[in-house]
Amino acid sequence: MAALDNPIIQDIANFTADNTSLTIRETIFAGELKRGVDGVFVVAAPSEPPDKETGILYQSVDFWARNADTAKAFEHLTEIFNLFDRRHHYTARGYFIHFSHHDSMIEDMDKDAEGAKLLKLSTRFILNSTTAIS
Amino acid sequence: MGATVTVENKLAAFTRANEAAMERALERMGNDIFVLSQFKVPYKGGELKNSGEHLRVGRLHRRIQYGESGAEAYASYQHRGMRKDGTHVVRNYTTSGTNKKFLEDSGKVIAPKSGSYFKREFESVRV
Repeated sequence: MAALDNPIIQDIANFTADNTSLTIRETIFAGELKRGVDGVFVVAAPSEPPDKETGILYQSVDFWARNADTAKAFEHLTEIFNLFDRRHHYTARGYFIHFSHHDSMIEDMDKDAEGAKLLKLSTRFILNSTTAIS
Repeated sequence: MGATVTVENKLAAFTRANEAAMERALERMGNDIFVLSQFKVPYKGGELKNSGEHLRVGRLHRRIQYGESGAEAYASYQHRGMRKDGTHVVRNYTTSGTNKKFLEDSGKVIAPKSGSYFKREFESVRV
């Protein structure tokens, strides 16, 4: 799995918390998979290399929703779906996001050890660091 | 009046791009199997959970494994849910619902979706 302290993932998780009903480190977690906790877990997914001429980054992100209440898991990922669906030209803390789009619909990923529902949404971000020096 | 058609052989570049796409698809599948297994692994203090790894062991070859240093025997024991000889069956898991075959079960969830992983990556191949 990609590094847990990936700064893009941290900033995307914070941006999501700022714009949805989710709360950072309470119901949305960046890079960590907590057991027995209902919420959304933001995980870096394998991504394409950056563009060597423009420095544009391509970051795929998986949002995993774990919830004992299946409807709530869908609700959380639907909020995230609507937030990032074909959204363009916005800033998430240290990154300027040119465009974001979903690579999948909300997918059923079975249940966890405690019988809670697991759902996944894959999203691709096309972005630049706002602190990069050229 | 004449016409010229030039055929450029990009087979080598196409082969490289295809292999890179296949690597990414396998990496995505491995990643998802790993994350799922993290939600399913028996949990007692988190040692077994924390020992989980997703590794690229070679060309188009990935491995998700649990247990390191002296813990291999414990990891395979927990995965089987019993000793090799069928004794010492694990019945009382610390976390309710935690079960044996946490890794195999995770693979079985992802395997039927393999077509969509490969389709997604091959769609982005450009030469």
